Amino acid sequence: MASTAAVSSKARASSTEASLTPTRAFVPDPYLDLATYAAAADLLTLSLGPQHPSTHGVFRVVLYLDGELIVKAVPHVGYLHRGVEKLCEKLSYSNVTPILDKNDYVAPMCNEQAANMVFEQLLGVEVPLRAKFVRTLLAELQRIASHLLWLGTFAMDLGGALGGGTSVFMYCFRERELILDLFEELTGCRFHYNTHCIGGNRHDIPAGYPALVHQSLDLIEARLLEYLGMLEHPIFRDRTRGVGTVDAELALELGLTGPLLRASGIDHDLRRDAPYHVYDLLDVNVICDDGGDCYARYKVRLQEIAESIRLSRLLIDNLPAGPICSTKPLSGVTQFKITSGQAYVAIESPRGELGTWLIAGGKGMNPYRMKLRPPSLHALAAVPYLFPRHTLSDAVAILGSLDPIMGEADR
Amino acid sequence: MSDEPSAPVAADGGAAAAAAPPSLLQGAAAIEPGEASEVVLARLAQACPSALARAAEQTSKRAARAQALEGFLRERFGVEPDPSNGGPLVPAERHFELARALKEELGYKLYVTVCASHWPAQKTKTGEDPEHFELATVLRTLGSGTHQACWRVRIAADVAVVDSLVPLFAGADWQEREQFDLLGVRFRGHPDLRRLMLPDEWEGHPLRKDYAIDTRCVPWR
Repeated sequence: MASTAAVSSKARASSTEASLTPTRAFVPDPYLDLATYAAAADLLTLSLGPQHPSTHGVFRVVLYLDGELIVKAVPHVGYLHRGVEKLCEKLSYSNVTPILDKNDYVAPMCNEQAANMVFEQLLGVEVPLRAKFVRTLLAELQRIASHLLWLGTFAMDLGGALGGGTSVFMYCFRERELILDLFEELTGCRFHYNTHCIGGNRHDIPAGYPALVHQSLDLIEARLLEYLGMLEHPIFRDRTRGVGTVDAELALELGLTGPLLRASGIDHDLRRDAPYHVYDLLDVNVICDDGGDCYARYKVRLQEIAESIRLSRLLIDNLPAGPICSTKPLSGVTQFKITSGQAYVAIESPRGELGTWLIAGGKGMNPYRMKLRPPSLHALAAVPYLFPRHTLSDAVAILGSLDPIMGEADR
Repeated sequence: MSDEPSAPVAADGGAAAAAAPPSLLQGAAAIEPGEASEVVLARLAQACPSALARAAEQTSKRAARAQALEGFLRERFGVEPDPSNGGPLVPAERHFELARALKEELGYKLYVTVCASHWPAQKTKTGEDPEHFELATVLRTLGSGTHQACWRVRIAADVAVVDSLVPLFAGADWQEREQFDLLGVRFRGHPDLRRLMLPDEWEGHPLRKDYAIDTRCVPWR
């Protein structure tokens, strides 16, 4: 079997004026010309997806296989493109929030938060302290739920080696349900909350809620150890260690953020490094790992669940009194007008830096242009760099470890 | 905490609590009162002793970085910062040069995002502003006191070409493809400039202002 390292690959930057000096040992060439591949005639083309269970939605990747080794991977996204950015240009500022709930359907709280923060910045609206605490609490709970869903689906991707595959998935969903119940208690909805609004939140914490939060967090914390018991065995480690390694330099170039960046050894977290809401009052422990492989990403996410549980407890125990929203209740779609200005505001969502570039203009009723920065799209852009030199079964593990949400990537 | 009947907490941990009905707070119309903010802040400061000092240190670091960036832009590129519009307008032919300088000299190593926007011709007080595109780019420094650098370039609509940043940041590949797909801005030096979101045979660029949201299109086969 020909090794891909022996391939005479076209220099990546050959068509551009300025080339980057190669400093790393070997980085797969995503623009590899297959005609130059030594064993070109023997390559098998395999289209994985868009409706394969391991693609977490509708993601298609065309794999060129030499035996079982991947030589080149060409991803295709856009199957879930709904034109959200175009739609936002037609909606008033207060109507954008519920649309963005459907964007990243695994962490809708963070999507609402990101959009409302940029509106508030351009409007110059201040968020009351109580609302800041509530928003931070919701974001941390959402991080737990999102990472739990990731852990379950990742274990399922790895399949039969883990006791039939779906066991961890079922347990993770059981715990995620506890968080969804908390959200339902607060907002009445399990997924599409529409609870953030410009200037604060629409739903205030009901009496007795802290006890419920504590009860759920205690249960989840106790069961984290059970996951370790289920997952930490040689087969799991063999399938994840050294698989899909991203070095720090490549991670930065690709714009990977969140757990992916931290698993590549870069100590960077917007919650600590650019604190928003009340993160400046909290000691956020940023969890890093030098491995850069699937196992490192798993370890980082699992520890982040524990960290989020700790932060959530701190927040719910220290709830300040006061108003929950600084603006008047919504009387009509014309209540908020932004006539000019541009801004980029980012938060740390469970998947990484979730930002919004907003251009206000025109009559000020709706955004002139709204660009969302979805961390999942950047994660998927790493696929052509990560898949080559791995086997087909590893490809499924790598894709799972990237935690892509297609609703967010395709928008 | 509250005078409301407290929620039943499972004494035996796991099984009983999991089986409890989810609507534990049914009928509780009151809100959780909370405590005075001074009390809360004092208690948090005790629980997280290093947090406030660290936040202050990061604010000063970020301010220093912002100042350094401002000076750099003024000196090398002759542009004034424009915070209300996200960032300064830089000549399009120096787009690549600026990105490289920021990455290699000032440490803005993380590629964050790129956003193109379409501006149809419009009459202004000083005459007519022709149709053009604007391309905003965001880079970021890493770790403590992270700072984002944003700048914009103006691209004439009849050429609609700007230098690609792919040689500097591999992550720019898909981001620029997306902007090309949705707005029709072309990137010089991009190794693989194809549509990203829409099918290859799609006509038009949906995020242009002259592309109506209800534009009829051939049903996708």
